[in-house]
Amino acid sequence: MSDVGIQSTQDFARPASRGWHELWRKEDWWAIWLGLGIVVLGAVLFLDGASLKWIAVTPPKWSSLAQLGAHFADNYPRYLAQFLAWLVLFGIALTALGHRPRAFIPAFVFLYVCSVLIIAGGQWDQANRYNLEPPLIALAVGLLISNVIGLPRALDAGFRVEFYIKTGIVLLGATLPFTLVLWAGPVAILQAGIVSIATFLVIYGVSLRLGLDRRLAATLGAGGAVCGVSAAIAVAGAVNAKKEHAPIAITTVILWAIVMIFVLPLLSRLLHLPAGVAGAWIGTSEFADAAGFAAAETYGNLVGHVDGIAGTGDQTVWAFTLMKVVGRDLWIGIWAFILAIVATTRWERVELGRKPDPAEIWWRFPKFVIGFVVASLIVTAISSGYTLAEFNKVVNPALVAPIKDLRTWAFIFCFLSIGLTTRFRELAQAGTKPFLAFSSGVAVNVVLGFVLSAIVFAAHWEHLTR
Amino acid sequence: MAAPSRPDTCRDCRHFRDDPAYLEAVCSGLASLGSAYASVRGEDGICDHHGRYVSARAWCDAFLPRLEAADRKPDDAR
Repeated sequence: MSDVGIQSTQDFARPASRGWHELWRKEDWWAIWLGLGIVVLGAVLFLDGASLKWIAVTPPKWSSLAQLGAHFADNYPRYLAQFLAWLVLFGIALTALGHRPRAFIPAFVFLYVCSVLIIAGGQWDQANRYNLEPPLIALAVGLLISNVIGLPRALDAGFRVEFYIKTGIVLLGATLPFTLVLWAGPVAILQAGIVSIATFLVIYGVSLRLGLDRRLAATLGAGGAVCGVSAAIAVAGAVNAKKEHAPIAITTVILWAIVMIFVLPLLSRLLHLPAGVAGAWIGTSEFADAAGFAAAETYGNLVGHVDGIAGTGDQTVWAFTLMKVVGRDLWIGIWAFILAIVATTRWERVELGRKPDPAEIWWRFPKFVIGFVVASLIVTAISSGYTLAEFNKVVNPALVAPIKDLRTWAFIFCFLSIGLTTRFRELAQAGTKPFLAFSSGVAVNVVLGFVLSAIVFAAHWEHLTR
Repeated sequence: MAAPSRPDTCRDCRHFRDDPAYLEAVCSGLASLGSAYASVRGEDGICDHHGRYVSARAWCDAFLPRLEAADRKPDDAR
Protein backbone atom coordinates (compact mmCIF):
# COMPACT_ATOMS: atom_id res chain seq x y z
CA MET A 1 0.00 0.00 0.00
CA SER A 2 1.21 3.45 -0.74
CA ASP A 3 0.86 6.25 1.72
CA VAL A 4 1.29 8.90 -0.94
CA GLY A 5 -1.31 11.62 -0.66
CA ILE A 6 -3.28 10.05 2.17
CA GLN A 7 -5.37 12.50 4.09
CA SER A 8 -7.25 12.20 7.31
CA THR A 9 -10.65 10.51 7.44
CA GLN A 10 -12.44 13.83 7.70
CA ASP A 11 -11.03 14.94 4.36
CA PHE A 12 -12.99 12.31 2.47
CA ALA A 13 -16.68 12.25 1.79
CA ARG A 14 -18.81 9.83 3.78
CA PRO A 15 -20.20 6.82 1.89
CA ALA A 16 -23.47 7.39 0.11
CA SER A 17 -26.04 4.61 -0.06
CA ARG A 18 -26.81 2.90 -3.34
CA GLY A 19 -29.68 4.18 -5.46
CA TRP A 20 -30.42 6.55 -8.27
CA HIS A 21 -27.38 8.60 -7.35
CA GLU A 22 -25.30 5.95 -9.16
CA LEU A 23 -26.53 7.51 -12.38
CA TRP A 24 -24.28 10.50 -11.75
CA ARG A 25 -21.80 9.09 -9.20
CA LYS A 26 -20.37 6.21 -11.26
CA GLU A 27 -18.22 6.76 -14.31
CA ASP A 28 -19.89 3.88 -16.18
CA TRP A 29 -23.10 5.88 -16.34
CA TRP A 30 -21.30 9.05 -17.36
CA ALA A 31 -19.63 7.11 -20.20
CA ILE A 32 -23.15 6.16 -21.30
CA TRP A 33 -24.49 9.71 -21.09
CA LEU A 34 -21.55 11.11 -23.06
CA GLY A 35 -21.13 8.29 -25.56
CA LEU A 36 -24.82 7.80 -26.27
CA GLY A 37 -25.34 11.57 -26.33
CA ILE A 38 -22.81 11.80 -29.15
CA VAL A 39 -24.33 8.84 -31.02
CA VAL A 40 -27.89 10.19 -30.69
CA LEU A 41 -26.76 13.65 -31.81
CA GLY A 42 -24.97 12.08 -34.78
CA ALA A 43 -28.08 10.06 -35.66
CA VAL A 44 -30.38 13.09 -35.43
CA LEU A 45 -28.04 15.16 -37.60
CA PHE A 46 -27.77 12.31 -40.12
CA LEU A 47 -31.54 11.92 -40.38
CA ASP A 48 -31.72 15.69 -40.91
CA GLY A 49 -29.18 15.55 -43.73
CA ALA A 50 -26.29 16.90 -41.65
CA SER A 51 -23.32 15.27 -39.87
CA LEU A 52 -20.88 15.40 -36.96
CA LYS A 53 -18.10 15.47 -39.56
CA TRP A 54 -17.13 19.11 -38.94
CA ILE A 55 -16.31 18.66 -35.27
CA ALA A 56 -14.93 15.11 -35.62
CA VAL A 57 -11.78 16.43 -37.26
CA THR A 58 -8.53 14.42 -37.20
CA PRO A 59 -5.19 15.09 -38.89
CA PRO A 60 -5.08 13.57 -42.42
CA LYS A 61 -2.25 11.57 -44.00
CA TRP A 62 0.70 13.86 -44.71
CA SER A 63 4.13 13.60 -46.24
CA SER A 64 5.64 17.02 -45.40
CA LEU A 65 5.42 19.34 -42.43
CA ALA A 66 4.19 22.09 -44.75
CA GLN A 67 1.23 19.93 -45.69
CA LEU A 68 0.43 19.26 -42.05
CA GLY A 69 0.84 22.92 -41.15
CA ALA A 70 -1.55 23.92 -43.91
CA HIS A 71 -4.14 21.49 -42.57
CA PHE A 72 -3.96 22.99 -39.08
CA ALA A 73 -4.05 26.54 -40.45
CA ASP A 74 -7.21 25.73 -42.40
CA ASN A 75 -8.92 23.75 -39.67
CA TYR A 76 -7.94 25.30 -36.35
CA PRO A 77 -11.52 26.48 -35.59
CA ARG A 78 -12.65 22.86 -35.85
CA TYR A 79 -9.94 21.68 -33.45
CA LEU A 80 -10.75 24.50 -31.08
CA ALA A 81 -14.46 23.63 -31.12
CA GLN A 82 -13.68 19.95 -30.61
CA PHE A 83 -11.33 20.69 -27.73
CA LEU A 84 -13.94 22.88 -26.03
CA ALA A 85 -16.64 20.23 -26.53
CA TRP A 86 -14.49 17.50 -24.94
CA LEU A 87 -13.41 19.87 -22.17
CA VAL A 88 -16.98 20.77 -21.27
CA LEU A 89 -18.37 17.24 -21.53
CA PHE A 90 -15.59 15.52 -19.62
CA GLY A 91 -15.38 18.46 -17.22
CA ILE A 92 -19.06 18.20 -16.25
CA ALA A 93 -18.80 14.43 -15.80
CA LEU A 94 -15.60 14.47 -13.76
CA THR A 95 -16.82 17.34 -11.59
CA ALA A 96 -19.98 15.35 -10.84
CA LEU A 97 -17.76 12.40 -9.91
CA GLY A 98 -15.94 14.58 -7.40
CA HIS A 99 -12.85 15.79 -9.25
CA ARG A 100 -11.78 19.41 -9.08
CA PRO A 101 -12.21 21.42 -12.31
CA ARG A 102 -9.14 23.46 -11.33
CA ALA A 103 -7.03 20.29 -11.61
CA PHE A 104 -8.89 18.78 -14.57
CA ILE A 105 -8.67 21.77 -16.95
CA PRO A 106 -4.85 22.13 -17.18
CA ALA A 107 -4.51 18.35 -17.29
CA PHE A 108 -6.91 18.07 -20.19
CA VAL A 109 -5.25 20.92 -22.10
CA PHE A 110 -1.97 18.99 -21.81
CA LEU A 111 -3.68 15.72 -22.77
CA TYR A 112 -5.38 17.21 -25.84
CA VAL A 113 -2.26 18.94 -27.17
CA CYS A 114 -0.21 15.74 -26.77
CA SER A 115 -3.00 13.74 -28.44
CA VAL A 116 -3.04 16.08 -31.46
CA LEU A 117 0.70 15.60 -31.87
CA ILE A 118 0.49 11.81 -31.45
CA ILE A 119 -2.38 11.33 -33.89
CA ALA A 120 -0.65 13.64 -36.39
CA GLY A 121 2.57 11.65 -35.96
CA GLY A 122 0.72 8.43 -36.74
CA GLN A 123 -0.60 9.97 -39.97
CA TRP A 124 2.87 10.60 -41.37
CA ASP A 125 3.14 8.53 -44.55
CA GLN A 126 6.38 6.96 -43.27
CA ALA A 127 4.99 6.17 -39.81
CA ASN A 128 4.40 2.47 -40.52
CA ARG A 129 7.96 2.10 -41.75
CA TYR A 130 9.22 3.16 -38.31
CA ASN A 131 6.42 1.39 -36.34
CA LEU A 132 5.08 4.73 -35.11
CA GLU A 133 1.67 3.39 -34.14
CA PRO A 134 -0.29 6.07 -32.22
CA PRO A 135 -1.37 3.74 -29.36
CA LEU A 136 2.22 2.67 -28.73
CA ILE A 137 3.58 6.22 -29.08
CA ALA A 138 0.94 7.48 -26.64
CA LEU A 139 1.80 4.80 -24.12
CA ALA A 140 5.55 5.26 -24.47
CA VAL A 141 5.37 9.06 -24.27
CA GLY A 142 3.12 8.86 -21.22
CA LEU A 143 5.40 6.39 -19.44
CA LEU A 144 8.43 8.53 -20.24
CA ILE A 145 6.82 11.70 -18.89
CA SER A 146 5.48 10.12 -15.69
CA ASN A 147 8.55 8.04 -14.85
CA VAL A 148 11.40 10.28 -16.01
CA ILE A 149 10.15 13.86 -16.00
CA GLY A 150 7.20 13.67 -13.61
CA LEU A 151 4.03 15.74 -13.44
CA PRO A 152 2.13 17.13 -10.43
CA ARG A 153 -0.13 14.40 -9.03
CA ALA A 154 -3.10 16.78 -9.06
CA LEU A 155 -3.11 16.52 -12.86
CA ASP A 156 -4.23 12.89 -12.57
CA ALA A 157 -7.74 14.40 -12.35
CA GLY A 158 -7.59 14.73 -16.15
CA PHE A 159 -5.87 11.41 -16.87
CA ARG A 160 -8.89 9.15 -16.33
CA VAL A 161 -7.95 5.95 -18.18
CA GLU A 162 -11.13 4.01 -17.46
CA PHE A 163 -13.50 6.88 -18.13
CA TYR A 164 -11.99 7.58 -21.55
CA ILE A 165 -11.91 3.92 -22.58
CA LYS A 166 -15.52 3.37 -21.49
CA THR A 167 -16.65 6.43 -23.43
CA GLY A 168 -14.69 5.11 -26.42
CA ILE A 169 -16.30 1.67 -26.09
CA VAL A 170 -19.80 3.19 -26.13
CA LEU A 171 -18.83 5.08 -29.30
CA LEU A 172 -17.39 1.86 -30.68
CA GLY A 173 -20.82 0.27 -30.29
CA ALA A 174 -22.06 2.60 -33.04
CA THR A 175 -19.52 1.15 -35.47
CA LEU A 176 -20.24 -2.50 -34.62
CA PRO A 177 -23.38 -3.95 -36.27
CA PHE A 178 -25.70 -5.51 -33.70
CA THR A 179 -26.20 -8.49 -36.01
CA LEU A 180 -22.48 -9.19 -35.61
CA VAL A 181 -22.81 -9.06 -31.82
CA LEU A 182 -25.58 -11.67 -32.05
CA TRP A 183 -23.69 -13.83 -34.54
CA ALA A 184 -20.23 -13.76 -32.96
CA GLY A 185 -21.17 -13.15 -29.32
CA PRO A 186 -21.90 -16.78 -28.37
CA VAL A 187 -18.53 -18.00 -29.72
CA ALA A 188 -16.81 -15.14 -27.87
CA ILE A 189 -18.53 -16.16 -24.64
CA LEU A 190 -17.62 -19.82 -25.16
CA GLN A 191 -13.97 -19.11 -25.97
CA ALA A 192 -13.56 -16.51 -23.23
CA GLY A 193 -15.30 -18.82 -20.76
CA ILE A 194 -12.90 -21.68 -21.45
CA VAL A 195 -9.82 -19.47 -21.15
CA SER A 196 -11.08 -17.52 -18.12
CA ILE A 197 -11.89 -20.62 -16.10
CA ALA A 198 -8.60 -22.32 -17.02
CA THR A 199 -6.59 -19.18 -16.21
CA PHE A 200 -8.35 -18.65 -12.89
CA LEU A 201 -7.85 -22.26 -11.80
CA VAL A 202 -4.16 -22.24 -12.74
CA ILE A 203 -3.42 -18.97 -10.90
CA TYR A 204 -5.51 -20.00 -7.91
CA GLY A 205 -3.98 -23.50 -7.76
CA VAL A 206 -0.39 -22.32 -8.13
CA SER A 207 -0.98 -19.61 -5.53
CA LEU A 208 -2.16 -22.17 -2.99
CA ARG A 209 0.78 -24.46 -3.82
CA LEU A 210 3.08 -21.52 -3.13
CA GLY A 211 1.40 -20.99 0.22
CA LEU A 212 -0.47 -17.77 -0.56
CA ASP A 213 -3.69 -16.79 1.21
CA ARG A 214 -6.88 -18.02 -0.53
CA ARG A 215 -8.23 -14.50 -0.75
CA LEU A 216 -5.09 -13.23 -2.45
CA ALA A 217 -5.18 -16.28 -4.73
CA ALA A 218 -8.77 -15.46 -5.76
CA THR A 219 -7.95 -11.78 -6.29
CA LEU A 220 -4.94 -12.65 -8.46
CA GLY A 221 -6.92 -15.28 -10.35
CA ALA A 222 -9.78 -12.92 -11.17
CA GLY A 223 -7.30 -10.23 -12.25
CA GLY A 224 -5.76 -12.64 -14.75
CA ALA A 225 -8.94 -14.34 -15.88
CA VAL A 226 -11.63 -11.70 -16.15
CA CYS A 227 -10.95 -8.01 -16.55
CA GLY A 228 -7.65 -7.13 -14.93
CA VAL A 229 -7.55 -4.36 -12.35
CA SER A 230 -11.36 -4.02 -12.31
CA ALA A 231 -11.78 -7.71 -11.53
CA ALA A 232 -9.07 -7.62 -8.88
CA ILE A 233 -10.73 -4.79 -6.98
CA ALA A 234 -14.22 -6.32 -7.37
CA VAL A 235 -13.16 -9.76 -6.14
CA ALA A 236 -11.02 -8.32 -3.33
CA GLY A 237 -14.21 -6.77 -1.94
CA ALA A 238 -16.30 -9.87 -2.61
CA VAL A 239 -13.98 -12.20 -0.66
CA ASN A 240 -13.03 -9.71 2.09
CA ALA A 241 -9.40 -9.71 1.01
CA LYS A 242 -6.76 -8.09 3.17
CA LYS A 243 -6.19 -4.51 2.17
CA GLU A 244 -2.71 -5.25 0.79
CA HIS A 245 -4.03 -8.00 -1.53
CA ALA A 246 -5.60 -5.76 -4.16
CA PRO A 247 -2.48 -3.61 -4.70
CA ILE A 248 -0.40 -6.78 -5.12
CA ALA A 249 -2.79 -8.11 -7.75
CA ILE A 250 -3.00 -4.70 -9.43
CA THR A 251 0.80 -4.45 -9.72
CA THR A 252 1.08 -7.85 -11.40
CA VAL A 253 -1.82 -7.08 -13.75
CA ILE A 254 -0.30 -3.72 -14.78
CA LEU A 255 3.15 -5.17 -15.42
CA TRP A 256 1.85 -8.01 -17.58
CA ALA A 257 -0.76 -5.85 -19.32
CA ILE A 258 1.87 -3.34 -20.42
CA VAL A 259 4.19 -6.12 -21.61
CA MET A 260 1.33 -7.64 -23.62
CA ILE A 261 0.48 -4.34 -25.32
CA PHE A 262 3.79 -4.70 -27.15
CA VAL A 263 4.16 -8.51 -27.31
CA LEU A 264 0.76 -9.62 -28.64
CA PRO A 265 0.69 -7.34 -31.73
CA LEU A 266 4.36 -8.17 -32.39
CA LEU A 267 3.78 -11.95 -32.24
CA SER A 268 0.61 -11.60 -34.32
CA ARG A 269 2.59 -9.69 -36.92
CA LEU A 270 5.40 -12.25 -37.00
CA LEU A 271 2.83 -15.02 -37.44
CA HIS A 272 0.88 -12.98 -40.04
CA LEU A 273 -2.35 -13.66 -38.19
CA PRO A 274 -5.50 -12.49 -39.98
CA ALA A 275 -6.93 -9.30 -38.50
CA GLY A 276 -9.93 -10.93 -36.78
CA VAL A 277 -7.88 -13.82 -35.40
CA ALA A 278 -5.36 -11.44 -33.83
CA GLY A 279 -8.19 -9.39 -32.32
CA ALA A 280 -9.70 -12.50 -30.76
CA TRP A 281 -6.32 -13.59 -29.38
CA ILE A 282 -5.64 -10.16 -27.90
CA GLY A 283 -9.17 -10.10 -26.44
CA THR A 284 -8.59 -13.49 -24.83
CA SER A 285 -5.06 -12.88 -23.55
CA GLU A 286 -4.83 -9.20 -22.56
CA PHE A 287 -5.71 -8.33 -18.99
CA ALA A 288 -7.38 -4.93 -19.08
CA ASP A 289 -9.73 -3.19 -21.52
CA ALA A 290 -7.55 -0.11 -21.97
CA ALA A 291 -4.35 -2.11 -22.53
CA GLY A 292 -6.16 -4.52 -24.84
CA PHE A 293 -7.58 -1.74 -26.98
CA ALA A 294 -4.07 -0.28 -27.30
CA ALA A 295 -2.82 -3.64 -28.59
CA ALA A 296 -5.84 -4.24 -30.85
CA GLU A 297 -5.72 -0.73 -32.35
CA THR A 298 -2.00 -1.15 -32.96
CA TYR A 299 -2.52 -4.37 -34.91
CA GLY A 300 -5.58 -2.96 -36.68
CA ASN A 301 -3.46 -0.05 -37.91
CA LEU A 302 -0.96 -2.51 -39.42
CA VAL A 303 -3.63 -4.14 -41.58
CA GLY A 304 -3.33 -2.84 -45.12
CA HIS A 305 0.15 -1.46 -44.48
CA VAL A 306 2.04 -4.68 -43.77
CA ASP A 307 2.14 -7.49 -46.32
CA GLY A 308 0.66 -10.83 -45.37
CA ILE A 309 -2.04 -9.67 -42.93
CA ALA A 310 -5.48 -10.55 -44.23
CA GLY A 311 -8.66 -8.71 -43.30
CA THR A 312 -9.45 -5.18 -42.17
CA GLY A 313 -8.49 -3.07 -39.18
CA ASP A 314 -12.13 -3.04 -38.10
CA GLN A 315 -12.06 -6.84 -37.76
CA THR A 316 -9.27 -6.66 -35.18
CA VAL A 317 -11.14 -4.14 -33.05
CA TRP A 318 -14.49 -5.92 -33.47
CA ALA A 319 -13.08 -9.34 -32.53
CA PHE A 320 -11.21 -7.86 -29.58
CA THR A 321 -14.33 -6.06 -28.34
CA LEU A 322 -16.54 -9.11 -28.65
CA MET A 323 -14.04 -11.27 -26.82
CA LYS A 324 -13.08 -8.83 -24.07
CA VAL A 325 -16.26 -6.89 -23.42
CA VAL A 326 -18.94 -9.47 -24.27
CA GLY A 327 -16.94 -12.62 -23.50
CA ARG A 328 -15.16 -11.52 -20.31
CA ASP A 329 -16.16 -8.17 -18.78
CA LEU A 330 -19.88 -8.91 -18.63
CA TRP A 331 -19.39 -11.78 -16.21
CA ILE A 332 -17.49 -10.04 -13.41
CA GLY A 333 -20.62 -9.81 -11.23
CA ILE A 334 -21.16 -13.55 -11.44
CA TRP A 335 -17.50 -14.26 -10.60
CA ALA A 336 -17.71 -11.92 -7.61
CA PHE A 337 -21.00 -13.43 -6.40
CA ILE A 338 -19.77 -17.03 -6.63
CA LEU A 339 -16.48 -16.20 -4.93
CA ALA A 340 -18.35 -14.29 -2.20
CA ILE A 341 -20.41 -17.42 -1.51
CA VAL A 342 -17.29 -19.60 -1.42
CA ALA A 343 -15.45 -17.11 0.80
CA THR A 344 -18.24 -16.79 3.35
CA THR A 345 -19.26 -20.46 3.48
CA ARG A 346 -16.12 -22.50 2.75
CA TRP A 347 -13.05 -20.50 3.66
CA GLU A 348 -11.89 -19.52 7.10
CA ARG A 349 -14.38 -17.26 8.81
CA VAL A 350 -13.38 -13.68 9.46
CA GLU A 351 -14.73 -11.31 12.04
CA LEU A 352 -17.11 -9.80 9.56
CA GLY A 353 -20.71 -10.79 8.98
CA ARG A 354 -21.98 -10.83 5.45
CA LYS A 355 -24.66 -12.47 3.34
CA PRO A 356 -23.91 -12.70 -0.40
CA ASP A 357 -26.77 -11.23 -2.39
CA PRO A 358 -27.56 -12.23 -6.01
CA ALA A 359 -28.32 -8.55 -6.64
CA GLU A 360 -24.55 -8.06 -6.45
CA ILE A 361 -24.40 -9.39 -10.02
CA TRP A 362 -26.30 -6.31 -11.18
CA TRP A 363 -24.57 -3.87 -8.81
CA ARG A 364 -21.18 -4.87 -10.19
CA PHE A 365 -22.36 -5.14 -13.80
CA PRO A 366 -20.13 -2.93 -15.99
CA LYS A 367 -22.95 -0.60 -16.97
CA PHE A 368 -21.09 1.04 -19.85
CA VAL A 369 -21.79 -2.17 -21.81
CA ILE A 370 -25.45 -1.08 -21.89
CA GLY A 371 -24.38 2.07 -23.73
CA PHE A 372 -22.27 -0.02 -26.10
CA VAL A 373 -25.25 -2.25 -26.98
CA VAL A 374 -27.72 0.65 -27.33
CA ALA A 375 -25.30 2.54 -29.60
CA SER A 376 -24.98 -0.57 -31.76
CA LEU A 377 -28.77 -0.95 -31.91
CA ILE A 378 -29.31 2.71 -32.88
CA VAL A 379 -26.90 2.68 -35.80
CA THR A 380 -27.95 -0.82 -36.90
CA ALA A 381 -31.59 0.32 -36.97
CA ILE A 382 -30.71 3.40 -39.03
CA SER A 383 -28.56 1.34 -41.41
CA SER A 384 -31.12 -1.43 -41.89
CA GLY A 385 -32.85 0.32 -44.79
CA TYR A 386 -29.65 0.58 -46.83
CA THR A 387 -27.85 -1.93 -49.04
CA LEU A 388 -24.15 -2.48 -48.30
CA ALA A 389 -23.20 -0.25 -51.23
CA GLU A 390 -25.54 2.51 -50.02
CA PHE A 391 -24.23 2.10 -46.50
CA ASN A 392 -20.66 2.61 -47.68
CA LYS A 393 -21.65 5.62 -49.76
CA VAL A 394 -24.16 7.36 -47.50
CA VAL A 395 -24.28 6.10 -43.90
CA ASN A 396 -20.60 5.43 -43.33
CA PRO A 397 -19.16 8.84 -44.28
CA ALA A 398 -21.93 10.91 -42.68
CA LEU A 399 -22.70 8.93 -39.53
CA VAL A 400 -20.31 6.08 -38.72
CA ALA A 401 -16.95 7.57 -39.76
CA PRO A 402 -17.29 10.76 -37.65
CA ILE A 403 -18.22 8.68 -34.59
CA LYS A 404 -15.23 6.44 -35.30
CA ASP A 405 -12.98 9.51 -35.47
CA LEU A 406 -14.30 10.75 -32.11
CA ARG A 407 -13.66 7.25 -30.74
CA THR A 408 -10.06 7.55 -31.92
CA TRP A 409 -9.69 10.69 -29.81
CA ALA A 410 -11.19 9.04 -26.72
CA PHE A 411 -8.87 6.06 -27.14
CA ILE A 412 -5.76 8.22 -27.53
CA PHE A 413 -6.73 10.18 -24.38
CA CYS A 414 -6.91 6.79 -22.66
CA PHE A 415 -3.64 5.34 -24.00
CA LEU A 416 -1.75 8.49 -23.08
CA SER A 417 -3.35 8.47 -19.63
CA ILE A 418 -2.21 4.88 -19.03
CA GLY A 419 1.37 6.02 -19.39
CA LEU A 420 0.86 9.24 -17.46
CA THR A 421 -0.62 7.45 -14.43
CA THR A 422 1.67 4.40 -14.36
CA ARG A 423 4.50 5.29 -12.02
CA PHE A 424 6.51 2.11 -11.60
CA ARG A 425 8.30 3.20 -8.46
CA GLU A 426 4.98 3.76 -6.69
CA LEU A 427 3.45 0.39 -7.48
CA ALA A 428 3.15 -2.00 -4.55
CA GLN A 429 5.85 -4.63 -4.14
CA ALA A 430 4.09 -7.67 -5.57
CA GLY A 431 6.54 -10.24 -4.22
CA THR A 432 7.97 -13.25 -6.02
CA LYS A 433 5.24 -15.76 -5.19
CA PRO A 434 2.25 -13.71 -6.41
CA PHE A 435 4.23 -12.80 -9.53
CA LEU A 436 5.06 -16.45 -10.23
CA ALA A 437 1.48 -17.56 -9.65
CA PHE A 438 0.11 -14.86 -11.96
CA SER A 439 2.76 -15.58 -14.59
CA SER A 440 1.79 -19.25 -14.69
CA GLY A 441 -1.74 -18.12 -15.57
CA VAL A 442 -0.33 -15.80 -18.25
CA ALA A 443 1.46 -18.75 -19.89
CA VAL A 444 -1.72 -20.84 -20.00
CA ASN A 445 -3.85 -17.88 -21.05
CA VAL A 446 -1.60 -16.90 -23.98
CA VAL A 447 -1.17 -20.44 -25.33
CA LEU A 448 -4.80 -21.48 -24.89
CA GLY A 449 -5.99 -18.15 -26.28
CA PHE A 450 -3.82 -18.65 -29.37
CA VAL A 451 -4.98 -22.24 -29.94
CA LEU A 452 -8.66 -21.27 -29.69
CA SER A 453 -8.33 -18.06 -31.76
CA ALA A 454 -5.94 -19.22 -34.48
CA ILE A 455 -6.86 -22.90 -34.79
CA VAL A 456 -10.16 -24.00 -33.22
CA PHE A 457 -12.28 -20.92 -34.04
CA ALA A 458 -10.01 -19.41 -36.72
CA ALA A 459 -12.60 -19.60 -39.51
CA HIS A 460 -15.09 -17.79 -37.29
CA TRP A 461 -12.80 -14.88 -36.42
CA GLU A 462 -11.39 -14.54 -39.94
CA HIS A 463 -14.80 -13.85 -41.40
CA LEU A 464 -16.25 -11.16 -39.18
CA THR A 465 -18.08 -8.87 -41.55
CA ARG A 466 -20.79 -6.27 -41.61
CA MET B 1 -22.32 -14.81 12.63
CA ALA B 2 -25.90 -13.78 13.26
CA ALA B 3 -27.23 -10.53 11.92
CA PRO B 4 -27.34 -7.79 14.52
CA SER B 5 -30.75 -6.61 15.63
CA ARG B 6 -30.04 -3.14 14.29
CA PRO B 7 -28.90 -2.82 10.70
CA ASP B 8 -25.65 -1.15 11.63
CA THR B 9 -23.65 -2.07 8.58
CA CYS B 10 -20.21 -0.95 7.46
CA ARG B 11 -21.76 1.83 5.38
CA ASP B 12 -22.41 3.83 8.54
CA CYS B 13 -19.35 2.73 10.45
CA ARG B 14 -16.53 5.09 11.32
CA HIS B 15 -13.96 2.44 10.33
CA PHE B 16 -15.31 2.11 6.79
CA ARG B 17 -13.75 4.22 4.03
CA ASP B 18 -15.07 3.95 0.49
CA ASP B 19 -14.45 7.39 -0.96
CA PRO B 20 -13.08 6.71 -4.48
CA ALA B 21 -10.37 9.37 -4.12
CA TYR B 22 -9.19 7.73 -0.91
CA LEU B 23 -9.20 4.24 -2.42
CA GLU B 24 -7.19 5.40 -5.43
CA ALA B 25 -4.74 7.17 -3.12
CA VAL B 26 -4.06 4.12 -0.94
CA CYS B 27 -4.25 1.50 -3.68
CA SER B 28 -1.31 2.21 -5.97
CA GLY B 29 -2.00 1.55 -9.63
CA LEU B 30 -5.77 1.37 -9.25
CA ALA B 31 -6.24 4.46 -11.45
CA SER B 32 -3.71 3.28 -14.06
CA LEU B 33 -5.73 0.47 -15.61
CA GLY B 34 -8.83 0.61 -13.45
CA SER B 35 -10.88 3.02 -11.37
CA ALA B 36 -12.48 3.35 -7.97
CA TYR B 37 -15.36 5.19 -9.66
CA ALA B 38 -16.40 2.11 -11.68
CA SER B 39 -19.60 0.13 -11.25
CA VAL B 40 -17.66 -3.12 -10.73
CA ARG B 41 -16.41 -1.89 -7.34
CA GLY B 42 -19.97 -1.78 -6.11
CA GLU B 43 -19.98 -0.24 -2.63
CA ASP B 44 -16.86 -1.89 -1.30
CA GLY B 45 -14.38 -0.02 0.82
CA ILE B 46 -11.58 -0.54 3.29
CA CYS B 47 -12.24 -1.35 6.93
CA ASP B 48 -9.50 0.32 8.93
CA HIS B 49 -10.33 -1.81 11.96
CA HIS B 50 -9.92 -5.22 10.30
CA GLY B 51 -7.57 -4.11 7.51
CA ARG B 52 -9.77 -5.71 4.85
CA TYR B 53 -11.75 -4.84 1.74
CA VAL B 54 -15.36 -5.21 2.77
CA SER B 55 -18.81 -4.65 1.41
CA ALA B 56 -20.80 -1.66 2.67
CA ARG B 57 -23.45 -4.22 3.68
CA ALA B 58 -21.16 -6.24 5.94
CA TRP B 59 -21.30 -5.87 9.73
CA CYS B 60 -19.33 -6.77 12.83
CA ASP B 61 -19.15 -6.24 16.57
CA ALA B 62 -16.65 -3.40 16.25
CA PHE B 63 -19.22 -1.09 14.67
CA LEU B 64 -18.75 2.55 15.60
CA PRO B 65 -21.34 4.95 14.21
CA ARG B 66 -20.21 7.91 12.18
CA LEU B 67 -21.03 11.11 13.95
CA GLU B 68 -23.46 12.25 11.29
CA ALA B 69 -25.00 8.78 10.96
CA ALA B 70 -25.56 8.37 14.69
CA ASP B 71 -28.20 11.06 14.68
CA ARG B 72 -30.23 9.46 11.92
CA LYS B 73 -32.93 6.82 12.19
CA PRO B 74 -31.72 3.28 11.35
CA ASP B 75 -34.01 3.08 8.32
CA ASP B 76 -32.58 6.29 6.92
CA ALA B 77 -29.12 4.86 7.12
CA ARG B 78 -29.95 2.08 4.65
